[in-house]
Amino acid sequence: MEGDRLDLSPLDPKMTEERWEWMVERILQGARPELTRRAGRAGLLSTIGEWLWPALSAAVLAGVISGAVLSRLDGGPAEAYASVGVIPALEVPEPVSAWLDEERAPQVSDLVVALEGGSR
Amino acid sequence: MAATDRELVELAREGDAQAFETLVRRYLRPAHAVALAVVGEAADAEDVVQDGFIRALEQLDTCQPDRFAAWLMRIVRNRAISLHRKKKVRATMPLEWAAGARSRSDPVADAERARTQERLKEAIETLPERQREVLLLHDLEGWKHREIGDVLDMKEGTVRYTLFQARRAVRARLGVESHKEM
Repeated sequence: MEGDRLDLSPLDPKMTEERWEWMVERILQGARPELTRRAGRAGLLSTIGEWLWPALSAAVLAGVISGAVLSRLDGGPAEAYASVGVIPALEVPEPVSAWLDEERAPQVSDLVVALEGGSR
Repeated sequence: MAATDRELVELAREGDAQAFETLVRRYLRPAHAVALAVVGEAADAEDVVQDGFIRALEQLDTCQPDRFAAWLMRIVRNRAISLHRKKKVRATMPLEWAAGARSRSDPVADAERARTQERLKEAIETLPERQREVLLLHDLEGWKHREIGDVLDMKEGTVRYTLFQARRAVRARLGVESHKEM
């Protein structure tokens, strides 16, 4: 079938080379605003990219360090406070803390002992 | 080595004017043939091609880079059909081929060329639009059946048959004597 090809070369518009160039130029002129917009967008994206990665890396690093510090603090002072208890931590006098531990109301004698102990 | 369509499309997406120009130069002729086959007038075909390339650039993000040619031709063809409908040109369409294509030195050759051109024009004008597209892309632009099928959304066998019909009709129009000349 290739041998049946019609010779259409008399119709070939390439013969008018100047016309083709004019057409190319016309298309490129028309495309300029869109090309400029695209180039600007690509530049903006790359600028954001340049800032974004270091910022993200720093944030991830800060997160890792914070996590590590917090995990080391776990079981430290918090546990220590828990084992001491509230009453000793508030430095309640010994006789008073005994009533509180035993969950009973103080007797008159207890109050006398407490007051004497406190004055000593 | 020449850059591939994929490379050029990816660069053009980022606003690379050089890459876009290379694509324009690579596909201007076939785009023009497709447009001309639909609209029938060289000036209209030029407008359609310009519009088609700019539309293509604007929509470049939606294009599969490896299928740029077929995608572009579809855009150009759709623009041409749209223009054609607007102008409501339905009957005979005067085809303006290669306007001003003259060698300035040989008047005899010019006259002969003009005569041949005129006969071809008249013969091709009588073809249905699809046959015109196939004939021009194959016999003028040198595209393969498969490439034409991609662009015009036709099976390869249909392209071959359409081309066969178009050639037969043109030859019949030109007459036996002209056929022998060609």
